[in-house]
Parts: sequence; C-alpha cells; structure tokens
Amino acid sequence: MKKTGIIIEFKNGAVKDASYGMIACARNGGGDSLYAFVINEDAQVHKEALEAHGIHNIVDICLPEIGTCKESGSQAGWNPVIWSQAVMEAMQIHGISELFGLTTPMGRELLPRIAAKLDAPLVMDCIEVNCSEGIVQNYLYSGKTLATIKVKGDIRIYGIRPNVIEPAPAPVSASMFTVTYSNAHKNEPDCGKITLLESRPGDNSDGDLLEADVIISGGRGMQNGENFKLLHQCARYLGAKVGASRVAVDLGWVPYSMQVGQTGEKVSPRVYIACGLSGSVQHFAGMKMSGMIIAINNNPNAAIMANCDYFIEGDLFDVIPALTEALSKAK
Amino acid sequence: MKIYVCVKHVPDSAANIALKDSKHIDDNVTLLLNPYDEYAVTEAVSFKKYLNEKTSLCGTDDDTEVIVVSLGKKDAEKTLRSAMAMGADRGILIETEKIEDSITTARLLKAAIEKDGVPGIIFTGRESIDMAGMQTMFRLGANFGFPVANNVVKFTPDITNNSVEVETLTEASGRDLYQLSLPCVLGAGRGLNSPAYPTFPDVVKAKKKQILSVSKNELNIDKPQASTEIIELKLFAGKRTPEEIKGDLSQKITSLVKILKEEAKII
Repeated sequence: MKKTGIIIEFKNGAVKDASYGMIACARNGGGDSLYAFVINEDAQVHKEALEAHGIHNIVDICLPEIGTCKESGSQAGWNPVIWSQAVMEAMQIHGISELFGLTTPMGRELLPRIAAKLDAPLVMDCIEVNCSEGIVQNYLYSGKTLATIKVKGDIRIYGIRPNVIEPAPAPVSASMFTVTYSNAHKNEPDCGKITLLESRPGDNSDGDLLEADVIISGGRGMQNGENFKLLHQCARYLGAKVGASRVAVDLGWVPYSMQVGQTGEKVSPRVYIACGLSGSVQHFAGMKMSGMIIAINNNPNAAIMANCDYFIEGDLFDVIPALTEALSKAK
Repeated sequence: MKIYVCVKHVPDSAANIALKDSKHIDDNVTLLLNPYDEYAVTEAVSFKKYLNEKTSLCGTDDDTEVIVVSLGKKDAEKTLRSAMAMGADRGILIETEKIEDSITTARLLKAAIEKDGVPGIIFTGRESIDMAGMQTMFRLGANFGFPVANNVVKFTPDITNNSVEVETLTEASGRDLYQLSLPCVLGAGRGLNSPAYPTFPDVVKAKKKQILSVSKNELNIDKPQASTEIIELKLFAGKRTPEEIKGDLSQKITSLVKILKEEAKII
C-alpha cells in the first residue's frame, strides 16, 4: 500500500485552507493511506478537522528541545534544519514513499532540504499530481507554458501551489501516532554547521498574498505609497490582501513582500483586481492563474485591459473610493 | 579563497515563448543571466574585495578569485561573459545539449567545481526563472556536505571564526537569521545588494577572461536513480475576453458589486 505523508501548515491555530486543498490533491492523486504530519502543534486539537478531509493517520511530530515560544505569524519553534530532519524521521518510521507540502515560504525551506538529503525527486509549484503514475503538472518559463513532468524515484516529493486545488471534505476516522525528534542526525555531514540564531516574524497585515482569495493590486497609477491606503480600505470590505507591481516596489512605495509577478509572488486568487497597473509580461507571470481578473485603468490601451475578464476605464481615484463606499453600505 | 557562483542562462522574462516541439521551447529567443544570479555574482565580487582588503592588511598573498559556473549549451557562454563583466574572474561551462534536471545538475556542478579547485563558498540565485525548481542549491550543499541557506538578503562574513551570518527572507517580510560555517552554499534573494550594470570597459575586459569548457561526459558522474523529466510542454496563454463595465460612475460601481457578489461570489 502506498503511504503518503502531508506536511500540514497552520495559521493562527487552525489548519490552513491551502493545506486542505493539498490533502484533496493527494487523495485525488491516488494516495490510499494519508499521513498528516503535524509539527509542534497540538495534534489532538486538529484531529477532527483533518479526519473530515480524509486523513487516515495523524503523526504528531514533537521537537522537545526547542522551547515552545509562540510567535505571531510563524509556527512555534520554527527551525527548517531540525524540522526537515524530523519529517525525514517520521517518513522513515512510517514507510512514507510520497511526500506533499505547500509551495509556501515554509515548504520552500523544508521540501528541498528533504529532497536533497534523500536524493529524491522534487517538483515545486504543482497544480495537479497523479501519484499512481508519478506525473505532475506545473507552469514553466514564467507561467508561459504548462508542463507535464514524469517523476521517478523510490521516494517522490511534491510541492503544491496554494489555492489552486479546492478542499474536498471526505470524512474518515484517523489513528494517532507520535514521533519524537531523536537527534539521530548528528552524524550527518552538515550537522552543527548551520544554526538558526533568530526568527523574526513578518508583518501579517501586508503578507499572505500566496493564499489570499482576493487580491487588489496597485501599480504606477497609484502615484505614491500613501495612496495605497485607498486599496487597504477597499480590501477590508473585500476580505482581500493588497498587492503591487514591481514599479510600485522599485519606487519604494510598498515593501517587496507585496510584489506580484515574475520576481515577486506567483498568486492564484479567485479574484484579482488590478488598479492603475499596465500589466507587463512579468506581472502576468505572477497573476495570470487568477480565477477572475478585473482591471481599473484610465488608459484603454494598457495591456491589462486586453487580457482580463472585466475592465473599467476610469480614474482609480474615483472608482476605488466609490467601490469602498458601496461595499461599506452593503455590509 | 575560491568563490564559486553557479549561474543559469535563461529566456528573458519579457520574451514571448514559442515551442520547438512537444517538449522544448524554441530557444531562438533572447537568453540572459538569470535575474536572481545577478545578486549572487554581485555579492561574490564584493566578498572578494572584502577578503582582499583583509589579507592586504595581514600582508598575505592574494589568491582570491570568483569563478562562475554554468550548465547549458555553447550559447550559455554569453551568460558567463555577463557575469565576468560584473566582476567575476573566469568561467566554467559544462556543455550539455539536454535540459538536465536538478538532481543531475547539482552532481555536474559539484564535479566541475571539484575538478577546478576547493570551494571556500558557493553562491547561487534563489531560483531560476525558467524552471523555478527552487532546489539546486540544497542538492549542491547536500552533495558537498555543506550547510545551505536560501533567499539570502543579508550577508555578513566573520572570517576569524570561519563562518558567515545571513538573513533570509521569509513570509510577509519576516527574517530568519542563521550562522553557517564555511564552506557553505548561499542562494541570493532580491534585496541582497543592488547589481550595477557593467560599463563598456568592463564588457571589453570580460571578453578577454578565460572560459573553460568541459563536456558532461568528461565529468563522469554516477547516473542518478531518481529523476524528473518534462514529457510534455504546452503554451499557456491564459487569454481572456475582456468585457467593459460601462455607464456613469455609480452604474459602473453597481455592476462591479453585482459581479463580485453573483459571479465571483466573494462578498
């Protein structure tokens, strides 16, 4: 029987929606025995939620020697070097041949560290996985092509793009296991050569673009950083996160963590609202996978106006405040 | 100290991609140095300067050099020249016609570096913009037994302790701070430095710098048991048919709210 391990991510004490989507992906892909890896969280608390999504086994991974300092925004006791070793231990103990994680900042640290140590194949940013065939799909060449990739190896590792796969509840009952980090890695060649000194959490108010359902982004047309508050006000009523084009970041208006595009975040929200943003090829590389794209721009010839679902030709400084007002009344 | 920088020759992000066949893009597009690798080269060159200043104070010989290594077709020489125009001293091209996966790439890079010298530190970009595998630096580190940090946005050497301190960019502008002993592998992220465009004299000088070509076969690596292979490639245009929301401002807003509510179902 094929055993599939899934690294579960949490946010504010709850399982992230993107993790449920990843479970659905692992299940569709033919995973017949799913193991949820819960690291440094109280696994019992999340048992019911994970069972509801079809998890057969919950592995509580305990890292006793790393305190329990709880920082806002990041999971307790975050340390990618130790966490990746702990996941490898859990994989070995339970005979896991397939590992799933999200292509998030956490996944980008854990999955390649594990793949490198196990000399196992890894594909990041998958939008579809067929476990039984070892075939995945992802976007290559800056989102301009869709690739089908054959993954060969005794152990195969998949990084899943958050938000592209809908959660699909499928209730089962799960068995509980505990794996305690044993420090069995002290003989590894890089042991003791890398130490995490400090983990400074980011600011949640401007982050999380990757997993946002709705994004409202501003470009050069915003004119300055101060004006982004118009987008933040509107975002509050839309339950949206605020993004930006590279120009807005390069001009110092907003932080790099808000950048959507080729060299920023690659996002897949249900709705993407682009304000005063021309829509360069590089910007499209980061958002063309959005469900619906709405453009607001006073230039009818902007590239984005020709490749969106809806557009409003008009001044964003009229449209956005009016939209915010309409939304505030609708509440 | 030998400072190695692994760089990749990738299609320009602004280029339109066409397909040559069902597995490959038409490489008749502009290819250039992977954007994240520019940060890697820049940091390597400034680290060399730092080491030279240190050693000149101690009166020892200066044998520090920056060597750029790339894997690709003959044309990837252009990317090596770009890196040399940015200050790298010489280049190594591992010639291969095939698109290699990360597992094989990391083995070939290790073999080529080992053949050339003993690395004091290895820089890469945090990912390539074509394949975006996000893993070669970790595999390279594991193959050498070196520690790895990726998406590095701050680099502080501590040569007396034979180590470096780095900051990596995490979620929502968060930072993780690591200490790594040398030698190590660092994946450069945006914000690590501000790469400068080479001047014309730099470009001319780079033409005279040495590039050593080695073939994949010469490096004689063990064939890995595991692999990832592209079996099909399709163009993804993501082309949409735009519909204008018309009317005066209040009509536009009414229509927009209706779309958000009834079609997108987000409010």
